[in-house]
Amino acid sequence: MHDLLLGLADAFTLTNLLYIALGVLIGQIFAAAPGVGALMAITIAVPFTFYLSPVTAIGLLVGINKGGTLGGAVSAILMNTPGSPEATATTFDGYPMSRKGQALKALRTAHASSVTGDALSDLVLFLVAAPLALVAMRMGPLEMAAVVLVAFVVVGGMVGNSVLKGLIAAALGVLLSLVGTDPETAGERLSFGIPELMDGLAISAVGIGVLALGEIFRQAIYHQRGSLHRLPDAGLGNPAQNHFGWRDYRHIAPTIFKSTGIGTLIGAIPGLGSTAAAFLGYASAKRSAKNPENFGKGDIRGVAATEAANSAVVGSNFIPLLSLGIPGNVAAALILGAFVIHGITPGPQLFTDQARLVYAIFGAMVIGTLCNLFFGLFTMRLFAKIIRLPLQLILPCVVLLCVTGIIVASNLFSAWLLIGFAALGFLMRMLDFSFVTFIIGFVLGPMFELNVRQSVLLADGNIGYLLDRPIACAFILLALVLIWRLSRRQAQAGKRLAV
Amino acid sequence: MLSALTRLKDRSRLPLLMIWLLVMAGVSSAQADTDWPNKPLNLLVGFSPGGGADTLARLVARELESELGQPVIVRNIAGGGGIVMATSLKFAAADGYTLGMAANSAFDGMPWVAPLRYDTYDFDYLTTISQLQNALVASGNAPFSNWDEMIAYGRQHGLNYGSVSPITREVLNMVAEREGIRIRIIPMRGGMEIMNSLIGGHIDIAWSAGIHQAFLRNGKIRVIASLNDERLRTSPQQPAITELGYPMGYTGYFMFAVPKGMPAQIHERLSAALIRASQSPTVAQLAEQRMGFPNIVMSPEQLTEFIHSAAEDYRRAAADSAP
Repeated sequence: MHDLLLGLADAFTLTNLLYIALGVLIGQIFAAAPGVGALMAITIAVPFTFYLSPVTAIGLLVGINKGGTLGGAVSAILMNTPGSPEATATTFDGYPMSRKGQALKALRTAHASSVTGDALSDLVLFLVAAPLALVAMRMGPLEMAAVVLVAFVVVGGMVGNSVLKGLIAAALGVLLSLVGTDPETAGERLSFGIPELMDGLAISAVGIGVLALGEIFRQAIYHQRGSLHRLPDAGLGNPAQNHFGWRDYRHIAPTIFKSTGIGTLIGAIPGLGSTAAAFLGYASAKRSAKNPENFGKGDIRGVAATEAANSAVVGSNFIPLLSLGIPGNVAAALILGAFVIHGITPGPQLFTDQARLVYAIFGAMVIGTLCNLFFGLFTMRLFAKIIRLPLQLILPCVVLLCVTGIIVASNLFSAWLLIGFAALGFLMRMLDFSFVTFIIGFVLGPMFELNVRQSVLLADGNIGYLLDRPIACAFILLALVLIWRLSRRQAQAGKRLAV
Repeated sequence: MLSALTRLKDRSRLPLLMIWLLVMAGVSSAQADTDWPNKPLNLLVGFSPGGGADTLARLVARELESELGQPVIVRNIAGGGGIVMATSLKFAAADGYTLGMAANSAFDGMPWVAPLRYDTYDFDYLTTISQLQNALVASGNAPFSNWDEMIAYGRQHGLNYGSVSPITREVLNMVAEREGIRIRIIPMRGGMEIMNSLIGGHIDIAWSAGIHQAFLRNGKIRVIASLNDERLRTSPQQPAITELGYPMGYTGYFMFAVPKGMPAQIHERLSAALIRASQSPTVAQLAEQRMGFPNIVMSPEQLTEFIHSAAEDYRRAAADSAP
């Protein structure tokens, strides 16, 4: 208790408040610009934190991270160009809402859901970090492989018109994720002798290319042909359509809570990350809705489900980070670096050795969430105004940001990759291949591969290894049940069509 | 007449011009040496961002900036225990503006155990930052607590071993062959994953480059043997692999290398600046106190000799084990 009060006192100082507020603003703005992203802001900020006290330093980085999850929704909603894979599902309903003239309402929904998901997930972190960490440690290779399998099935089942095309896209994603170095033998795979490819295709190049730049190509080409479209009016002049009030919040609250649960759980398991959480949150909301056909056409619940889920990851990601020292994603890895710089060794002993510091970090997270809530009230309206600019001005700026962003974050070679993947993203949109399953395949592919290979080696040809692991068995069973239900539903849909 | 004059004039100037150009070229290349560095340097780090090794490299980079008065841009090129970084480094210009940081095994051992596009002699070696604390470790709950018990247990049940690179794999292949144990080698991505897999009971033993030291105090991890040539500072009770009848240990360092053929003057200045940066109090403190790695800083000559002799050992071992 003493440590708790001391820690909170450490957190609530004016310096910390200023730095965390600055972090949240930076995160929101960087992430709102497509192709830049909060990750780059964190990368740039880490060296500056050398000079700050540990709590201030981590507060600043956590602030950027938190602001980033909200900012990421902005370009997804306004321009259909998610800046990072985790905001992809936000476009499904966010962009249709924009086109209906409800951009501001979509942004406010994202704001409310994001902050709620984040706050609840923080609460879970504060209360049960230690016990949840023990669960995470029980997750061995086989368990992880089974969890990824479930994620593949759920996302695969969510995807629309043609299951075959969805599978082809997913397989392409997995195939491209194999480029680089074999995890076991360190031999080169599919790298064609290009040194830059030895480390694999950069996730930023693939993600921004397929998700953001591919969409911009499509918009630019249609724009020129004149068949599409002025960017929809933000509806700033039409408050009735864009009102987001208490009633709306009550309407989406069940969706938010469910997605928060999903996001928190996924964040607590190291490695899965916010992209998987976002898609799973969206899929689950769509599945449990009474009128799932509204999803994808501008349903407010679609935005809420995605944003709550991907933001909930941010808080609970700190569970494996603090208690096991395992970063759940790249942003968390950079924050882990800041811990090491400041002489903090995350791990099981952190909670007992440095309780005061842990509580101070929790305090900083609370401040970050409050800042996100407060600033969002103003910045969302500001961002919505971007839409009033003509498309001819916006698109070139976005392309410029994407290309320069990738050169800063990675290298010139990645910029060429980016162009290539933008072309791929454009083709996939034209030919109606799901870029969602593609991205999920690409993001989760390496993890699935490594865990399956580890499991096979550990099992050593003995089926008892599988049967001894109830958690893994449960997840594999769940995947099978999901496949069975999906195929039954498709068979029924097929019958209906035939009639 | 006039035009003929100018033509003549031009022609007579031509050799002069050429000489002048040659001189200038000579001067400017000499200048390139003397006013190095006149643009930012690139430091390629063979580890993913966020870990201890990356942090060490970034601290050295910061000190190097103040030594040289030019920004040092850190770029993480993780993968394959440093081989991805070393491959990129090989193809970089040897102009003193690109240097690489990895563990020595990327340079002296990897070329002999994995098919690579570079070998040990493609680089110049500058200096070390700290010594690794390589150890064979097990969970605090493992059913064995020393080497002999581990061997006995392994003969009965076999052992699952977590490995991060082809080098760390080779060591245990040797142990397996010699002791007649079945050792299953499980590829892992990094130190923290290994620690958690041990504590979570998913594997039996593993290689650690020093990260285990944070887990010794509360008994979550125990050291079975030192894989350095000598016993480890933090586990003086446990024998070194060389005491257990094995010919060589795997003493290693975090170190800096550049592509071969850098101008001598730049080589001298860069290595002097790197040595000062690696010995600076902030780097020493991070290495010694926070990470538990002795801050041993070698001269280029010492390091080069160390790497070349280790490479010779690996080459011989590889030749012996080849069928």
